[in-house]
Parts: sequence; structure tokens; C-alpha cells
Amino acid sequence: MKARLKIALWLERLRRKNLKELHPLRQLFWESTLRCNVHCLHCGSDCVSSVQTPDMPAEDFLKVIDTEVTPHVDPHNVLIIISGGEPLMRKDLADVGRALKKRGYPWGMVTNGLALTEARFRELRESGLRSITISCDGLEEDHVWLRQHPLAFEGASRAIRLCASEPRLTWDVVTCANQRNIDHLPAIRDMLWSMGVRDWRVFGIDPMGRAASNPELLLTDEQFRYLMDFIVSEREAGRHVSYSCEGYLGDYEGRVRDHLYQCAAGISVASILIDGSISACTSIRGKYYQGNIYKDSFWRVWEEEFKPYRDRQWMRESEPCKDCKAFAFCEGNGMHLRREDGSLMLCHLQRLGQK
Amino acid sequence: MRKKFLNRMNVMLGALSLSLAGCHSTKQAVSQDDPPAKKYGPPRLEVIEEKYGIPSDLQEEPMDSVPEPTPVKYGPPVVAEEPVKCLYGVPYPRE
Repeated sequence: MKARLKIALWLERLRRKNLKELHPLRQLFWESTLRCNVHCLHCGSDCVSSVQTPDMPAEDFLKVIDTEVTPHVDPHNVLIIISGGEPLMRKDLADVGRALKKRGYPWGMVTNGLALTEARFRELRESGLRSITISCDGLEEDHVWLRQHPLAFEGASRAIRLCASEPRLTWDVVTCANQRNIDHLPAIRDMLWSMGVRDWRVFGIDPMGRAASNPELLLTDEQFRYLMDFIVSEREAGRHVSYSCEGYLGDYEGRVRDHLYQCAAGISVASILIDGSISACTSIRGKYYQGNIYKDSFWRVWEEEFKPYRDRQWMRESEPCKDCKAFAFCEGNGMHLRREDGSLMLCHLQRLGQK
Repeated sequence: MRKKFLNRMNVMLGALSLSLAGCHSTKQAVSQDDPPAKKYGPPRLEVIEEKYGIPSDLQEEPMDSVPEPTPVKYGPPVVAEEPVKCLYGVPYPRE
């Protein structure tokens, strides 16, 4: 590893240490619904189209915002991200957005775009939607396959074109790389760029949720390295293509993202899940919950709990982190990659052959 | 005091580490080498409603009541000079 990068990583480690002490709340996810209008093969939320778990009433979420969050933050510095399931399934989404806008919070959402008509898009923009991510997982056939809905590509394409027509909106497209689309990345890039996309994030699919039992969804190590090299070459060509925020990438640090690796879960990122559970990123579940808004004070939990997130030495107790020299920079990889027993699902350094 | 100090230190550390690592945004308004749309054609103009009808989940019903907001203490939004990095979820909004 080059000396400059190593120094940068040590400085970033110091910055993260300070950040843990400060733990400023900067992003708050609200898992507004588990309902969804598609049935993605890789869904980590295990979302279904029927209402098995009811949506959290908007009043409950807004009460937490008003009584627990707003007294302690500058709302303009906290991005609220409405997620699901599919947030567009909520009929009151624009009303919630308006309420957040009134309170001074910028808000955004992640969507598959299927239900994003032009009218709905305009309504959400007027309600204060500032940032949006559209999921598009490949050329039409591959996208429809992953999303398991015949209209999925139509919806995503329309959503992308709507966003591209809106100059003051911050938006990007996210693609989950898998066995079916990994060889089509250049064609996907051409397609997205022709639609007006200029910010493209490419994720791998983690072995969790429905993806855990479907090998077609998971990249091989060789394919993962190809993905890294693809992103490097795209960035060298001047196109804003990035890998997701997850995973310490060793020698690829500084080359595939605009920032160095950090897992901000529980440090500057929190979430309120469908049943009121307080977590960090919405994919971190189970034993890593820190409380519940229906029993606990959200702000007290944010200030005083989240200990496993802010001190990750416990991850040293198991492989592959036990004697790993990269732990100083990696700190056990992303929290969402930890199983209930604390073991690590995936080490990116191992995937890259750097460990 | 300590909070202020740590925040200032972190701004410096962040800038220095990114600079040393060579991290930079490759965002451009338009690339001269944008691939032509000839393979995929011009964007289709028909909207989904014309072909398939409006999905039933788009029937709008306003919320019965919106709680009154807590007064915002900090004034109008500050326009960020530089986009804050996207950590997860959605990219940070910028003017």
C-alpha cells in the first residue's frame, strides 16, 4: 500500500475516533413501511406486498422528531431518509414530507420508481423532496428478473427521466451487481448515461435476507475485483461512478469512492424501524437494536447507547478480524455484515485477495 | 469547548486525508464523451398510465392532521458550498 494512502487512512482513523465521541446525528432513516409493489430476489427487508406489519403512523414518527430530535439538532444538518419496503406505497408520503419540510429537515427517499408518476413526483418535490435514489439493476431483462415485476424497468426508466428533467434535485441511480448483470456494466452505463444519469453507485449484494440462499445474486471474488477495476476506470474517464459505502477496500481506497471507508452506523446514522426499534442502518436488525421509540427516549438512546457501534473492539474476538493488521482502518467492516452471533458475513479484503 | 475543538480538528483531518488519498469527486456537468443514445433510442414519451392504467395504490388521501411543528431555532437553510459526501441511502442534497 502506498505511503500516502496509509497516512491518509491513519488520519481518517483519528477523525473517526473523534466522530465517535461527538456522534453527531446526520442521517436518520425512517422505515416507513414494509409494503412493496415488487418482490426483489435480494431484498434484505423481506418485504411483501401484503400488510403483515402495519405501517408506523406518521404521527408517531413526527412526535419523535418534534420531542426527541429537534430540541438537540440543527434540522438543516439532519437528512431524513424515508425508506421501506417501497415508500411510495404510503399514501401520506407527501404529507409527511411537507411536515418535515416545515420543520426545516431536508429529506430524501429510495425508490424502485414503479409508482413514481409525474404527478406524484411533482407533489413530492413541492413537499420538500431534496434527494432521491432510483434502483435500476441492469438492462431491461436483468432488472425485471431481479425485481420480479414485468413493469419494473418501465417504472425505473420513467423515474430516472423525471429526475433528469429536474435540475435542482440531488439524485442518483443504484445498481446491485450480480451474476446476471456483471458482464453488462458498460452497456448499463451507456444506457443510464443516455437517460441523463450522471451519478451512479454500484453495490454488491450481501449474503443476507433473500439473497443468502441464491448464489446467482452473489458475485465471485474475481467478479468483485472486476467491479472494482471497472469503477476505477470509469472514474479515470471522468464519469461519477462509485462503489457503495460498505466495506474496507485496502488498495482500492481513495479510488472507487469520493471518501475513505467508514461505517457510520450508530456514529452519525440512526434509524427508526417499522415497529419502533431504534437501530443504525435499516439493514442492522435483531440483537443490534438499541431501544424502541415506544418505550425509550430516542435521544437518550442516541446519546448513551450504541456502544457496540462506537467501540468495535469486540469484533476482534472472532475471525477474520482477530489478528488482522487492517483492523485499525477497517474496524471489523460494516455493522450490517455482522450476524446475530457477532461473526462476520463478508470480509472485502479477503474478497480482494489483500488479506 | 471540546466539541468545538473536535469538530474543527475533524474538518482538517477530513480534508487532509481525502487530499492524501487522492479522493475526489468526478462529478461533471456533461462529459464530452457521453455515449450516444443510438443503441437505446430517444427516451420513450408514453407514460405508464396510458398503457396500463393508474395503479390503485396511487389514490391519494390526505392525512387527517399534521401536528404543529416545533419552532425551528436555527433560521433558514444554509446553502452548502460543497456537497457533503454520501455515506449511505441517498446523496446529500445540495443547492
